[in-house]
Formats: sequence, C-alpha cells, structure tokens
Amino acid sequence: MGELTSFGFTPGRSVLHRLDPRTKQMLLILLGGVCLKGNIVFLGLLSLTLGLLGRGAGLSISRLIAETRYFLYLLVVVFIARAVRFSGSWIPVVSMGSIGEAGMVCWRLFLVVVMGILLVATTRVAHIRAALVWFLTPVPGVNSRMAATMVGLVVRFLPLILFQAAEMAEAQRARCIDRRKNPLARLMHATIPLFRRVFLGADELAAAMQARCYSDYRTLPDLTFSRLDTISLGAALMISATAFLP
Amino acid sequence: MESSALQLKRMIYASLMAALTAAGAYIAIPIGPVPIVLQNLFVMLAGLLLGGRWGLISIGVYLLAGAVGLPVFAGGTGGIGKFVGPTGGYLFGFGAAAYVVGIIAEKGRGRVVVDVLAMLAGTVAIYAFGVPWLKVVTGMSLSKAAAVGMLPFLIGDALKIAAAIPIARSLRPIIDGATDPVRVAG
Repeated sequence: MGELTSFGFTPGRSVLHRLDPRTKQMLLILLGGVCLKGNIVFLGLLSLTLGLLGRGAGLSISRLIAETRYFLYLLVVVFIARAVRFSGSWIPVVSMGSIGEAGMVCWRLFLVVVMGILLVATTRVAHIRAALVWFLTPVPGVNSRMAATMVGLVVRFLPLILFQAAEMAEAQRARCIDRRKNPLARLMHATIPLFRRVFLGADELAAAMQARCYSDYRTLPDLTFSRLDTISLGAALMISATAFLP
Repeated sequence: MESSALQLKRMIYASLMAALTAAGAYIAIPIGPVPIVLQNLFVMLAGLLLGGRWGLISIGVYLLAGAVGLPVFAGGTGGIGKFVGPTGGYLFGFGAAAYVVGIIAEKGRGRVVVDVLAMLAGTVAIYAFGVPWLKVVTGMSLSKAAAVGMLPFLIGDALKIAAAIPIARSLRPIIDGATDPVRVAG
C-alpha cells in the first residue's frame, strides 16, 4: 500500500496544476516521442524546463528518486549492457564513445518517466478520467464512457486488492504456508484465495450498482482550455524544434 | 439474466481483472534468488477466465489506466512514457497475450492440453512484442536484448503456466456461474 499512497496527486496552484489535463496528456505524448530521437541541446532544455516546473509544483528530488528507484535499477542494467562491448573474445571493452552513447539513452528514458510522474503528481484522478472520455470519444469501436468507468473502478479497487493481498499473506504466514518449498503450491496459495475474494465481491458490486440505477451517462467535471494551455503548447513545440537543429 | 445486467457484470469482472493485473505488478513471491512477479500470470488468467474478447478489454483497460498516468505499471509508475520506454513492448504484448490465450482456451472448453498450448502461444506473443521493442529503444543487438529481456524470465514463465492450470480450474466455476466465457469440461 505504501507504494501507492506515496505516489499520487499533491494539491497546489503551480503552472502544471493549472494546465488542462488534456494539454498535459498531449505534451507528454509529443515530448515523450521527440525525446527518443532528441540531441543533447533538446535533452538539456527539456531537463531544465522539467526541473523548474517540478520545483514549482513542490516535487523534491529525493521524492523523485524514491519513486523511480525500481526504474533506476533497470536504467543501470541498460547502461552497463550498452557501455560494455565484447570484442571478439570474452574480454570486455569499455570506450568513452560507448559510455557517452549509453548515457544519452538512459537520460532520454529517465526524462520520459519524470514527465509521467509530474503528470500524476499534479492532476486529479477525476480530471484524468474526464480527459480520457474526451480523447476516446472520437475513436471508433470504443465506448468511451464505459472505458472511463472501468478505469475508475480499477483506481478504486487497486488499493483494496493490495490490502486484501497483504492481509492474506499475513494469514498464510501465521499458518506457515510461506515455508513450503514447492513454488507451484506457493503460486496457487497466493492466487486462488485472492481471486476468489475479489470475484465474489464483484457480485455485490454489480448488485449495488444496479440498485443505484447505474448508467454510462454521468456528469463529468468541466474541462476548459485557457491561454496558459496555448502558451505551454507553443513552448513545447519550440523546445521540440531544437531536436531537429543540425 | 437480462442482458444489461449481464453486460454490467462482465464489465465489472473485466475491471476487477484489470485491477488484479495492476496489483500483480506489486505482489512478488520470493522463490530462490529472483522474486517472481505475478503480473504476467494474471494476464494469462485474464484470457483463461474471461475469454478472448473480455480478456482483451480487461488488459486494454489496464493499459489505458497506465497510459493516462495512473501508477499501475511495475515499480509504481504510469504514463504514456512507459509505452515508448524500454519495457513498452511487453505492455502491448500483454494485450495480445490475453487475446490469444482467451481465443484458444475458448475452443478447448477447459481441456488442460489446450490451455497449456494457449498459454505457450500467449508467452510467445509477449516476447514477440517485448524483445524487438527493447532492441529498438535501447539500441542493443537482438541477441543482447533477448539475453536481458527474455532468457532470465523463461523458468518463471514455465512455473506460471504450470500454476495457471489448477488456478483456472478452481476459479472458472465462480465466473461461469454468472456469465459464460469459458466453460469447464465435463
């Protein structure tokens, strides 16, 4: 549960908080895409901008590192895999060129993740859902309101499921089930009771939703584009343009 | 049961399966030196229990929740950035796997051999998306990408397939009682 509660929306009035959630999504897609091909000027500019925005939104560096710690392990693995080359035999070779290249790759990947964290830290879940309906409505073959409701259910149930899983693990420890060596038995003991509980709860949820006349059409929060959104989109386009400078 | 109620129930099952998949990214069982993360076991189970169409919808909702920035992916991150990141291919592979597993399992009506084949096909689908993606994004060679992104997980995958069979057998009656995705044989 700790992983979830530490990572989430922090209220505030910073520039990032005031942007429309749809704008933030679009910026994330645009900058995230350009990032993978960006040169050092673009990456530097983007890091500086994100740093300033993150500071404005009250996000500290220690929190950022704490939230990306698993991802940082992966980055280290990628860095080593790229920096070390095996020249013909089993002797590893490390050159300055390959270290620089590996560093660039890791820098890009890290920035992409930081943007995701900034989005979650500055946007309410209800707004993310409303933006989702707006984005999905023109997509053919997708019931946007149903999809948004389902995403909403995931958000509400995730902490509950993690809580139940932790409770179950404790109950099993009390009965020494966790000391069984057979990995198959342990996978089964972890999964079957959890699924059984969750799916039996689903029947109650369905009855409760029906009793309250659930339908796809419910009131969503109003989203409006402001001048700030236009300015930030323009700024993002200018930063992106530096990626294509010679 | 009237059709709107059935629709609602299926929707809730698919949402809960998506939430379980998200939870699977956090739950790890320590077996030997490498903890086994339950996430791709849950993806396979989405296909086995809900069938192809609703399995795909369920994983689609999970990916959508991640795409809009909710912290549902491994390591507590989210955001569209994850899709273009090094592990993005696996995420698309999850969707493909749930669909493939579901479609094949529906044909088998709970026969063990068919379920195993379905999950083998699902595993292939995950790596068919994941490994080339890892190669492109990180610029490693294909053999290096496979060594980092596939080989270490194969033993765990075999274990998960073996565990999924009895798990599906014990859980199908609960779900089949309400809807009719994949019937149990006999």
